[in-house]
Amino acid sequence: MLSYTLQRLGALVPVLLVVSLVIFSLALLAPGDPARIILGPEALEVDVVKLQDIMGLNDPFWIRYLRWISGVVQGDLGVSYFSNRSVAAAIQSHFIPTAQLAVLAISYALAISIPLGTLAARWRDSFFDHAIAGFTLIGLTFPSFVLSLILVIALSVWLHWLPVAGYRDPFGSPLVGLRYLILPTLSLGTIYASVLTRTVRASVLDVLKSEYLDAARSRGVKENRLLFAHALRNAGLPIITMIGLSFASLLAGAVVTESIFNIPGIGSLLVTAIERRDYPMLQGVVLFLTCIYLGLNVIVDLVYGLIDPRVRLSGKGVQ
Amino acid sequence: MATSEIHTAEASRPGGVRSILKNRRLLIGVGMIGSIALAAAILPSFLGLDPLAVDPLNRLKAPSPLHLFGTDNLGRDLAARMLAGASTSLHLAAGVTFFSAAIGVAVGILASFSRPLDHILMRVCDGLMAIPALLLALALAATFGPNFSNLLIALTIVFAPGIARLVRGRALALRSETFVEAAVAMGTSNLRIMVRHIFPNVLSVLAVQVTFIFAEAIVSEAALSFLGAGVPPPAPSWGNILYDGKTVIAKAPYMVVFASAAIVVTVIGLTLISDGLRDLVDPRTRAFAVETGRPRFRFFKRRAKNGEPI
Amino acid sequence: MFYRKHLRCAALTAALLMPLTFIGNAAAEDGTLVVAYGAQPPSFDPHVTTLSQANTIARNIFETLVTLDADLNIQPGLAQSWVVSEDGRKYRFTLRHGVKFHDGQPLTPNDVVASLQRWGSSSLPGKNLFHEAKWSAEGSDIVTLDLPSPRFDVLVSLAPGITQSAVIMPASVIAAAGEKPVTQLIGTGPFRLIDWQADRMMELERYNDYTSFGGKQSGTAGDRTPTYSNLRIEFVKDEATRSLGLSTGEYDIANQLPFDSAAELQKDDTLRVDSYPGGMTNLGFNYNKPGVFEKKEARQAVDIGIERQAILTAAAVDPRFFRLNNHLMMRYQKQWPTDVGETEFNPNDTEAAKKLLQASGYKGQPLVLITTRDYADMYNAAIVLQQQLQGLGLNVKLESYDWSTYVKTRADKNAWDLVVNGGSPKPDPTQLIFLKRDFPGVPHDAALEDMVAKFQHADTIAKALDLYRQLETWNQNYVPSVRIGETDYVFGMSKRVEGLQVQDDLILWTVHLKD
Repeated sequence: MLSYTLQRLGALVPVLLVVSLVIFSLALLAPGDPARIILGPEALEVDVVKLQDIMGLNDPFWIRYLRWISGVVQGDLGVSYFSNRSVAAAIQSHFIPTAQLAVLAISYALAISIPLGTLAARWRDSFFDHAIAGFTLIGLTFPSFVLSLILVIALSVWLHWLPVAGYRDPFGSPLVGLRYLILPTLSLGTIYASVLTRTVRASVLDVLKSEYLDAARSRGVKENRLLFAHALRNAGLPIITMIGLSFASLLAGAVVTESIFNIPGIGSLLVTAIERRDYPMLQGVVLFLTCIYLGLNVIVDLVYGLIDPRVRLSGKGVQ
Repeated sequence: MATSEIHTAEASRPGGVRSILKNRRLLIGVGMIGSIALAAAILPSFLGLDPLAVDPLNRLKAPSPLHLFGTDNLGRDLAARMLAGASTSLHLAAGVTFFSAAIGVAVGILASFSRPLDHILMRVCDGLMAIPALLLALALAATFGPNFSNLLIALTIVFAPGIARLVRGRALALRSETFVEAAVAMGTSNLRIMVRHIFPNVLSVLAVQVTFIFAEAIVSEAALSFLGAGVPPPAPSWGNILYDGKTVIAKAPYMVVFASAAIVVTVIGLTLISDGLRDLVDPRTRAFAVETGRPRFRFFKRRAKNGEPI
Repeated sequence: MFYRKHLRCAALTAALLMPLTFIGNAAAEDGTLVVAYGAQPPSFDPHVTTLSQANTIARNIFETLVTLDADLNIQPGLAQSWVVSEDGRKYRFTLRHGVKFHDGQPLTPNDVVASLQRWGSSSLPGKNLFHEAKWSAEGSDIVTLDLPSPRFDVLVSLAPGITQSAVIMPASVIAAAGEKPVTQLIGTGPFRLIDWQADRMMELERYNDYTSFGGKQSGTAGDRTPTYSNLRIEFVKDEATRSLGLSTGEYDIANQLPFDSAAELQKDDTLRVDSYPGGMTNLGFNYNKPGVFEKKEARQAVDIGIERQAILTAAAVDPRFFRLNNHLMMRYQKQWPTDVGETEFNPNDTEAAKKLLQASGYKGQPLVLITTRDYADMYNAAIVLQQQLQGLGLNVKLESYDWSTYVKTRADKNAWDLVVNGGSPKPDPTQLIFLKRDFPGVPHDAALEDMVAKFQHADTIAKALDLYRQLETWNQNYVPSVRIGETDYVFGMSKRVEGLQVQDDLILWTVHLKD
């Protein structure tokens, strides 16, 4: 198991190297630079060039890459060009709203998908099952930002139930804070609710077909208990996998949702960094999100490997 | 192993025309996408609609007989912009699909023929796939600058690695098949093996995958334009209409509603096509698509337990 | 067990979500004025950045030697009094006693000299007037200024402006920043910065050791001591969110509201909506790239062919928020005469324009109009302009970029032919950005440069006004850029806010909170 873990982690090194190069060159190739942004709309070219020199923006590509990557290796992501804030501190403070949103969205997806998926499997091919299939199809075809806008029109603009956008810290005032997070949660979570409903239904169906449930049935275990205690628990693995993967993509998917709802999360941090060409911030955030994404993938792999030894063995042959 | 059934190109196409005609989902999907494309191609010139003609004094007028879908924030006819937007979105998605499929297939097959090349190409693919797709698209679009062909390149870079991975996996499996091994033993050139034996047999997995990519390209364009990094305005695209509509969402919600409806209908159409195609290509999975537990389109590529893209 | 926990969690979430939809909105806080501005400026150093918002937000923290009252007369500021030598080349400022920076250090002549030297060498107005000026400190409260030649507008230039005010910072902060923009915001102003969450908000507190300038509050002059204790500036990038936050009572004041929401907000009788002059909208030509606009006929064709009312309607929606203006200075700058040419110039003569174009020898060469969607009014104006120019027979393609790419593209002299420029108002016409020879695309014309040089040595306002008339005549004959008009910034406030005055932007310390 240890060697498998090390092997999986070791495989990440070249990937991260490629990622760092891609991120870095993208940032530098983008037209415009922070000096121009700082100097504002009426700046003259002489002043721009002067500030570029002071900020070290005119140094050669490799020097700047090495300067950055050597910092990163030592755990230093650098400092924003626009404030004295370190990139790590900025990520830390902006990660909280994003994590809150992601946790809420996953909880919402689970709250919907586990009962619905299980019942759809229980009453397979019934009207209920087809209704659920229709619901998940809609959930999957609505891109989250389209859903956001529709929900804003319906619940905020027409019904005035919920705020259109904004963020209040739920730890400060829980009710107000949660109120602001309802619409983002619904728009971000619905797609995952649909994915998970399908996963739950399929996994429970698989287990329901298996022989040991027949054994349990013959022991006189009640059907509902059978369904929720035995079937659902044994269907847990694919569901956990899907949760892990969904969570990773949720974090990145929050970019659009945060920008619609004006939430000061990691997505807004990234969009602002792109707009201002704040290279250290941009590189740091993308690297951070990529690491989380890869990390969760590895964890999911390891959980699989822990439970199913065949994965460990076959994993070696593929790379 | 699934591939053991595939010995010739013909074997992967069960049925033919008759099974296509019996495939209701495929037909409905093709019908939906086809009519959108047809409307976008014919209606503007037929009705004399100009998506760029501004009329600031008649801005944000609700739908009326004169302007069926109303006017936008610069007094442009929304119906004209929706149709022109359909054309932009479909062109872009078709381009992205074609180029990422072409590059993905080329890279995937090449990688399966040379171990050193395989290592290099797959590390690059892994690196590109490790960055969440929307972020990569956003960064690429910002870097290349906003214009249609740059957006095409950006999205191709985002989607090609996934196809390359998929094709490589399939090609590696095919290489150990007896008919390929026989060809190698007979001294057939590598190029000939690639073109005659490998290529036709990866087409079946490709067919399903490209409909995903098509749908993802539509959604990505909308998302990027919505964030202000997609098709450069004032060119109409569904994402641009959403962008403009969002600022006047309280005053003219119909802008957002129409553009959203267009995107959703297109994605549903493509989902039906891909479900139908899968039935056609691999009849054993005809069981209702719900059971695959897999999203029809994703912003983000996932990897299965063994590192292959799902 | 895994599933039970989640079922419980689901029930809990559902139970929580239900009542949430009916909870009222956050109530206004006592003694705190909450103001929503647009995206946070990239820097708050007025010596360095040319962004007007950076300057006007920073004036809550930083102060200047002199101030302007509501009638734009010079009044004392950090300088309690001053004496001007007879030849107008020597100024002697006496600093106010007891002024302390927010870090507790007393204001000394050295701080003033360090600040104004830096401002004189890095800011546009500073370089314009003071690049050869000599600042020196004398004793404990005297600062002197030596000028190579007299100027009529020395004091106005040192007063708060819309961009790049001559603000005073501690010499130590300036030394620490070097040539980079300062990131420590320490001034002497009515508010002290106590918390700053980048890109989200700034929390300011009434400065308890504040030294008042005395006299009645008027414009930026007089007693600026705030009557409320805290000021929170929230940076809300999305304009629709700003206006909705105002109507739900999250903000007391929301600045730069979308023009479209003004009518809606006005229906709400708990709110007041008003506007103040923002800047000018011009169509600029690229004189650094050879092309059809080197010909005066082509520029004139555009000038008389376009229809300004439609352009400004697209930009600012309601006639209340825009005005035609064919002059170089804004209409509210009443000291500058408007007797040269028509103010509301808008012939919209398509036929004459087409003839002029023909005379210019234009043969349908493609032209590029660049714009950015990050400034919605400029962008909307550009879209309408492009359509109108095409109507005149000019083959104009619109290219829209994000802000960063836009400023970069604009600096590339081969990348564009036309640009919609939003120029900010300036205290004198030679500082206008579309007349600065170093600014991208601006013409290098001998007559213009001659007038600008003469202006540098205008020692009386009469001479300056005379030169301004000459400049106006030149501007209307030469058509260096096409003047379209001026647009406003719209702001809204709750009934809780009283007494708010405006000078270039909202003057936040003038507010009285009615609780």
